[in-house]
Amino acid sequence: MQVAIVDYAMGNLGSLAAMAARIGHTAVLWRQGGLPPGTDWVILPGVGSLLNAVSELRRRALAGPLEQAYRDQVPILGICLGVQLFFESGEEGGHGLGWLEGTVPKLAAPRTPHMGWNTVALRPGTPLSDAFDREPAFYFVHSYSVLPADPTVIWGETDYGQRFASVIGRGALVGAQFHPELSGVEGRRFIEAFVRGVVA
Amino acid sequence: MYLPRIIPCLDVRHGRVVKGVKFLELVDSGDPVELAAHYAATGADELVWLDIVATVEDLQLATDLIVKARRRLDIPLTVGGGIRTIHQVEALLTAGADKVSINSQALAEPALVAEVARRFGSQCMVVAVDARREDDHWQVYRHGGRTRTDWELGAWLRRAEAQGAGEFLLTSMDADGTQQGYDLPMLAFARQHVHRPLIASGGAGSVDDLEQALRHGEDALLLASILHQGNTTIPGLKSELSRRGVPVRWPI
Repeated sequence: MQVAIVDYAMGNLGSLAAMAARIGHTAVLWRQGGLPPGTDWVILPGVGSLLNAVSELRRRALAGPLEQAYRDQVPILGICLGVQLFFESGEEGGHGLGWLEGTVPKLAAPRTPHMGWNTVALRPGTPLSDAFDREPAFYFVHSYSVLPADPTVIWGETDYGQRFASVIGRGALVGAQFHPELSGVEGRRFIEAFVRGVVA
Repeated sequence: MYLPRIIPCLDVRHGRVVKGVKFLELVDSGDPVELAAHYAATGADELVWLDIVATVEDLQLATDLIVKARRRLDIPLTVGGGIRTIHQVEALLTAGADKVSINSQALAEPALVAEVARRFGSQCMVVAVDARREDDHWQVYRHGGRTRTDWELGAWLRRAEAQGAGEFLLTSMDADGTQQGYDLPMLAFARQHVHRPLIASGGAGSVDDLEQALRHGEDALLLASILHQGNTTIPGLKSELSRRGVPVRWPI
């Protein structure tokens, strides 16, 4: 399969390309224009703040084609800032793509960013929940988290100072607040479950 | 459940792994890409790769190795050692490092920390600090512990955080290489001065030392010489910690 990794200068893509290679997929960088031909699924990555993200996508003429891919129900996996982009707005005036209703507030935790390994309680009955026989642990780096208006899009939750939505899903749209590409064996299982349950 | 990070440190010079004892005595021993992959496969939660990238040739050698390591690593990788310019930072991040660690140059040019944070995000800006006890306080040293600075530890940590440090790697020069346990008083002192994550470094010699540090509130522990003799392994340490009731990530 071919995965298109959205490249809009918001973070390091080397570990994502390496992860794609490990599961036998061909990674292409999606830098501008329409969805690269032959693409089976898309990774929307990103680190940092929502403030610049959408303007970077627009500046590279990626926002429109990405919107089109979403409407065409191309499977999209948002990672970290990528899942935050699914939502409408963040604090500090940043805006997301508005595909899901909700906001992106700052984590209410004594020490931020939330950096390191934490477990995710996956909701039973989603395409991802059967991949693990216990609560998996993933690598997180973030100071904001998503707050969906519709709780049924929450596929997994994590505790850090507060309980927050760490996995989001609706149809072909799936997002992880953590970095599966940096989360060892369980990160790989997460990606493989997404490919099996959502892409295939 | 938030889980502690057990972080092996690779000391690399001229493309080979070396181990550090009391900072200045170095002995050659191994291929860093193989060792990094081995650590990742056996349960390391993150890796720190310290290299010297001061010259163009050093940087090229380091980035070539990091490209190879990245293909095999599915855990976070921090690279540091002799970084002086934003160009070197960009080269290392592009090669596949998730974070860079800057020590001496952060002291010489705090604006570099701000520049890295602004361009690449503070989450990839680790400020490494070497400190040593002096009478009633801890003093910051640079150049691998060879040169005393004018900075008291707490003051420097606060300044570095204000500049945009996203994380700290704090080495106790008094504990480093002794394998007599982490410098818990220094770490507790440092935590009072920063809000960012802190990696404890220096002094790990046994599973008792890891357990003690984790029970005292540390949540990220650097391992160096404890792993170099080969009779202590990450799975061994983690299974023993788990047996003693300390939660760890167990990636099987």
